[in-house]
Order: sequence, then structure tokens, then C-alpha cells
Amino acid sequence: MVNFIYMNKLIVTAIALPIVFAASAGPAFAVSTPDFGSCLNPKVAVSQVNTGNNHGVVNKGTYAGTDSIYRLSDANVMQCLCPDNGSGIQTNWYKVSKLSSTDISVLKSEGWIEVTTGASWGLEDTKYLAKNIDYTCKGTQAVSATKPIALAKTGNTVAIVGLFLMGLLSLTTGLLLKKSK
Amino acid sequence: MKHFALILIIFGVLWLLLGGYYFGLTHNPNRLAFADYKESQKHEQSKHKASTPTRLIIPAVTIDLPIVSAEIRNSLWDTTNNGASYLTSSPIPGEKGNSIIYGHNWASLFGPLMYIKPGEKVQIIYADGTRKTFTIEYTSTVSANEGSILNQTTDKRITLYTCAGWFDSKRFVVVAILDEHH
Repeated sequence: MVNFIYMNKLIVTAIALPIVFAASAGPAFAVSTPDFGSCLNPKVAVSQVNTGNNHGVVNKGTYAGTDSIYRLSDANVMQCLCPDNGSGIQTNWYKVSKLSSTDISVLKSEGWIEVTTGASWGLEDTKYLAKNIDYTCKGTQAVSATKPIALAKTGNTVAIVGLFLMGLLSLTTGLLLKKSK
Repeated sequence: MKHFALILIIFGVLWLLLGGYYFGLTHNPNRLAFADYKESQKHEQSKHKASTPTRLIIPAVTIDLPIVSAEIRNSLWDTTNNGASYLTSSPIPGEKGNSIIYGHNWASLFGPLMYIKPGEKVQIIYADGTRKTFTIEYTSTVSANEGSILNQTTDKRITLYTCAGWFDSKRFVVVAILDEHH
């Protein structure tokens, strides 16, 4: 009887563990951010276009190329930089003066960069969060070796085959061990 | 040892089930959809059969596919295993606006799209045998909720996309603009 209860516990644990693991993979908190859209098809008309050699991108450096600014609202700005080499950077600027420090911490953990004042970036003198997203554009120089910016197209297949192989291996080993008793 | 064998069996079954679940996901016909695309953006297009797009060619990545007309029915996006899907509620490629063409990320379909770069050419062949050429302007990987990339535009563009990312959670998008001299 004790053995039967122990076995049941073991089975429940074995089933529950992967479920708990899968459930814990998601973020603990969620802070919604504005929908900035994409430089590929901006939602609003361009408000400013700058050309030249000295376009700053937060946490990246300065680039030569074309910098297009889209003011989505009083609080949010999308910056689309197309450098001469075609490796574009979209920067989403989110004015966060009304956001709590906890929310800012959560967003920072999601890749947003805290900028104490937007003044040095041509924005208001208040706190912003910025996020850089890569894209490619038609720069003045040809883009060098073609490199996908997404995962390889075989990624899913490898993962699925891996799961099937692991499952078969585990099942076969388990059955063989059980038989050998 | 007996308990260890049982754990292995249970995990084996779970992994097989998980593999089957993900396999099912990759063959879900609606996985190419953009969640927040608004059908209200339907475009009044010319109804001439001669201007129906029939073939998509991208020489740089050796894509040469038939184009199959597709619609969104009750929020479900038509997909095909035999070519590229052209959303007929968007403008005919080459007309003013944003024409939407999508396909699975399989090696035989839009898989090679991820290796494309701006400046390369996309050709569309029509039912009457005419051909229009577009130049790729942008590529990017966006979230599956970024339906704004399908919004209508004032230029003459095609937006091609396929699934990308971990278990097709994202979309790889290519924007090409019509070469007006053609």
C-alpha cells in the first residue's frame, strides 16, 4: 500500500515538474508598452529627416546615414536610422515620467534602456526608456554577406526532431530497464 | 531502479506528446496570421483577370513560386502548401497601396526569404504574361501582433512575409517598392 502511494506521488511529480517548468518560463510581471509600430511601415508621417555623419543611437554609438523621426504622440517617438551600410536601427522612445520605479525595472529587464533625460537626444528634459530593434534598409553601401536576422528556417524542425528522439530514447531505455528487472 | 525506469517512461511519453503538439503547431494553417490585422482595410482593386498575379520570382534567393489567391475567412487566413498566398483584399501588386503576399517558411517555399537583402529584386508575373519588378527596401523580424506593417500606404509596395523565431512566434517581413520605369 505504502509502495502504491509512493508510486502515485512519483508519477504526479514526474508529470507536474515539466508543467511547472513550462509555466515558470513566462515573465513574472507584465508592463504594457505603447505600440510603436515598425520602421517598415510607420503609422504616422515623418516629422523630421536628418542626413549627415553624426546620428546618435542610444547605447550603440554614432552613425552616418539617414535618421527619420516619427512623433507618435506627445510621449512617444520612433527613430528610424538607416546607416550607409544598411544595418538599420529602430529606436522606440517611451516617456516614462509617470511610470513607477518597479515598472521601469520590469521594462529594463525586457531590454529597455533607461535614459535620465531626453534633452541630449532632441527630446524633452524628462526620463525616457529606449529600445533598439534591428532591421535592414537600403543604405548607400551594399550590405555585406547576407546573414539572416531571424532564426534559421530549420530551427523548428531540429527542435521537434530532438523532442521525438529524446522521447523515444527515454521511453525505450525505461522499457528496457523495466524488462531487465 | 524500477522507479527510475518508470520516470524515464513517463518523461518519454511527455516528450513525444510535446513533440507531437509542436509538430501540430507548425502545420496549423492559421500560424501565418497577424493577430491584429484589420479587415476593414479591404482595398477596392481592379477586377481584370489579366492583372491577377500568378508567379513570384526572387532570383537572388532562387524563389520561384506560383501565387495562390487567399482570403481571411472568420479570422482564419488561407494558406497553401504549394506556393505563395496573395491576400486578395489588398491591392494587386503594382497598384497604389500595400499588397500582401505570405508563405510558409519551408525550404521549398519562403524559407530562403530570410537570406534576402535590400536592393535585390522581386518579380511578379501576371495572368496576361506581363511582369513587374520591385526593389527590396527593408527587411525585419517583427512580432506576430505587429499588424501595422500590413497597413495601406501611398506608395506602390508589396509586403512579403513568413514565420520566424522560436516556434514561429515572429514574422520575417520584406518590403519591396515598384520600379516605376517598368
